[in-house]
Amino acid sequence: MPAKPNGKGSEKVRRVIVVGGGLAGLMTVIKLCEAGVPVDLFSLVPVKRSHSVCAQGGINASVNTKGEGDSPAVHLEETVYGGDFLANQPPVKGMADAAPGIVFMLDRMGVPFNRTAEGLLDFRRFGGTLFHRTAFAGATTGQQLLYALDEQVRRYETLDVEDSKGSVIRGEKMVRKFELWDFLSIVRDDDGVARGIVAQDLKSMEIEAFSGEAVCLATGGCGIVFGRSTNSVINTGTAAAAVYRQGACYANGEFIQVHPTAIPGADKLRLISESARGEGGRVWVPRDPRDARKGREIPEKDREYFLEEKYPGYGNLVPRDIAARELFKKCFHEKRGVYDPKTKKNENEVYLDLTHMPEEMLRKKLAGILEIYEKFVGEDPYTNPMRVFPAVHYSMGGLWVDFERSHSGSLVIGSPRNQATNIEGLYACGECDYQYHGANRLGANSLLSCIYGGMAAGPAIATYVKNMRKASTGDTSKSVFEAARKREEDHYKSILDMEGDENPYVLHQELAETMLRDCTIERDNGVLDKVIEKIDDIELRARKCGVTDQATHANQGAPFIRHLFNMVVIARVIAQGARNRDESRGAHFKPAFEKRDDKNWLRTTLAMHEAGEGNQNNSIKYVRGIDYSIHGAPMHASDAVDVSLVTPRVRKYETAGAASETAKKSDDHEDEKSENRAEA
Amino acid sequence: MAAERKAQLKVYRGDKEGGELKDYEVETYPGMVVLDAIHDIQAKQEPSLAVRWNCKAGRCGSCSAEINGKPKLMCMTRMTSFPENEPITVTPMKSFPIIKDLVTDVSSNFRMAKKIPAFRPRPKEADGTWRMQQEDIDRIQEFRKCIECFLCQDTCHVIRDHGKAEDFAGPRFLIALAGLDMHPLDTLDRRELVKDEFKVGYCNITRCCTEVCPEHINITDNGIIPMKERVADDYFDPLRWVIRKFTGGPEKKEKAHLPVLQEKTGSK
Repeated sequence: MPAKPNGKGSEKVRRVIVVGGGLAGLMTVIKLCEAGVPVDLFSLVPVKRSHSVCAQGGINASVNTKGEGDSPAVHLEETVYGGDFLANQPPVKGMADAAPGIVFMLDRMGVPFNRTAEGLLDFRRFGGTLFHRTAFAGATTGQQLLYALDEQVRRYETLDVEDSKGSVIRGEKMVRKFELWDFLSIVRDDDGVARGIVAQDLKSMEIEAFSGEAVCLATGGCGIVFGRSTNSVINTGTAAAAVYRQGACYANGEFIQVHPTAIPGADKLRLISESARGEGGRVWVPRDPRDARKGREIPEKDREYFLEEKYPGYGNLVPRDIAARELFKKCFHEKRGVYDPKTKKNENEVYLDLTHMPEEMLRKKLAGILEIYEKFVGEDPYTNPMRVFPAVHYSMGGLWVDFERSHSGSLVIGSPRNQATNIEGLYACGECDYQYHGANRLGANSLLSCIYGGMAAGPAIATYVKNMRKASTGDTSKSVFEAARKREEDHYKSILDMEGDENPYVLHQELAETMLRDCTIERDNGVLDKVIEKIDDIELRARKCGVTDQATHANQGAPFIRHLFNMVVIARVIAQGARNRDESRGAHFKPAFEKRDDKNWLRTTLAMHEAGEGNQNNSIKYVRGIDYSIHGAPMHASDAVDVSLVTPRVRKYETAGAASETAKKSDDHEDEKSENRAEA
Repeated sequence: MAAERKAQLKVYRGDKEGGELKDYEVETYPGMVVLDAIHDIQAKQEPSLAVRWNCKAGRCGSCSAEINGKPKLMCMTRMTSFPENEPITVTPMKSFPIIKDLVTDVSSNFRMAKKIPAFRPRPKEADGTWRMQQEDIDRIQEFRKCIECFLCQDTCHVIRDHGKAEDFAGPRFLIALAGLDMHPLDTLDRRELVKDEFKVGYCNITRCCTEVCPEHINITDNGIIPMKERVADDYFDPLRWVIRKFTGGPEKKEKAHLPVLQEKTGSK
């Protein structure tokens, strides 16, 4: 009979808490349930509304259906090469090796992946590779994956919990879902170990503490810090910021991916998936910057296919950091964006052209994406080249998490170190961790990293929990939960009582404009100093917001102020990290330091929060290593990047095959070896 | 593009105790959608206005409401799609209990979703592959485009006028069931449930759901009608009944049960 836990929560069963109902969170839940660990799942929105539904393009796996010589080794190399060698390589290897199995598993969960004529899985091309490696389900892959995992989790919601002898514990299901709950903070016991969370019900506005044997955050990215981005509005990074404020380390925050192709809009930027280029889309601008003709009327000879010309090796499918930079350069530095005869200006837009492709094929493979364009621009993308511009898209940085390297250079699945943050008992996976993409993520690796992150986190937490049960000397006292709840409730009340004259929405707009303008594609130290001053200013003014909404249910103004506080914290991590890193690597580009500097900067940025006292602003302490413990055993990780599998080299996307050079070579060696064996 | 102009909105303010339409005026700009107007009101005039939204790209299905009485996604409805000089009325979905202002409680749908027995595939083929034809995929992909905005449930008169939200699966879940039934690799027979638990018979094919679907899924013709036919074939066709009696019928799928009814579960 398990002891009665404290805090609100299950009376009879000890549970693990997973926060976030996107792909990473749901996969963690599934893996925990498979290991027999019951879960409480918290989500800010109903799980199927999570941002994972917005992923359009697909999921990478080196299945090599088309016999191109693709393999997980090539996938590993291209991923770390694309990430400019900032990613620790063992987790990437684990992910690349597991990818084909993941796609097969999803296929068996009923995801309707597109098929070849033989009825096998079809794959398309994506950025940073020459191989067809991306499995896809029409133009709604993320949604299909999310719905499939949701179906599995729903099954666990109806399964009874069994005790160690196999008898059913009445009234207890494997998964309990708490949707429309806002995560506020973790509960740390006297030793600093995570023992639960405090969350707020966004319908009744009640704040409660929940006990959990471990907590896993899978709360996604922070695109809303930049205001207009391709992200959903829930992606404020508030949960990651909250635990960072509680002592979790935030790594590589300065690496923010800007997606090269989105539909510019006054309100939000809607993504045009990379699959448009994967299926043959070409990017160009008119050779004559004053060319007033419509895109479709401009003949081939008057078009400059600038990506293909500069990067003949990978063409339109260079990685996103490079493509976004080139687009930005065309529009901002060369003023060569599409000319609008009405405004007499070169707009910040370039053409993404699919009109040379057969319409029937496009309708089959890209309809969902092209529909959005048609809807919001009012132009038919089958006959008119689309006009696009880069938009903030993904955060490579996130909560620092550990891993345990196996002999083969992969991950030891089931090690409690995998996906563990530096707060004992707190885990993280999905976009809110920093683990798999280095300085730049390749397209269609995000769905994969979310699912693989969950597959690593689930068993890790199960091991952690099982070891804890053995060592556990007693439960956390009730007062710890009550104190944590009280702290958050007081904080919330203090927000409701704010009577200043600052408008939180306006403050967010100011913050976002600054971050978007000065902290994305190109960065400059002088400008970044001003960005940090602006963040200082907004942090002070945010304390003087006014709240007119005192509603006791479905109040949206007050939680927004809380999220704003946290967005300011994340913005500081991003801007200060960018200010410090004097080199150019992946998505982080400083014209004044144009080269990658492996000697000084082949290392992870590790940021620790330091709260400002009184009227002082928050600040950041940078560390070169992390010490934490799991069940009393000390763990240490330095900021050095594990590059043991692929030696860093300069990226050269001008040359075809440059991203997969060494894997190809070692493959050839393998072939030679096996030939030798055969001869012997 | 029209120059700056103002638009009048009437927005429902209230909760389960009651409420009323309130007038607002917002400045419009090219490309503005109704959700932008609501946000503008929230940011500048009425911070306590409650609205749910998320992706703003017609993917997450959060911002469903009734605009001039028609169920629509606020993020996908352009302001310019309405006459310039008439006020635009925005009210919450009527079929679901109101929480506050434009926010409704759609949890009856999540309870319904839980009742659907999950996909269970047949084993792999001898060569280790698992083949499906693109034609079959196309058919189920259509149903799986559903973003669960529940506009179809909102407009369905069985739910809206007869209050059968807990009783009748409604268009959204009938196409979910159709997607499973039509999946070439699935091994469960859910048709008895479709008849008795999900009550496909309640639908009388008014096609209102198809009309409001923002994903343009042909809910009635491609999903519900085939399901009605399959149920009729299995349970009400005397000729087929006789043939089945003698031949044992075609290859049988295993009968599915409601998951919540399972007593002992979770094999180790």
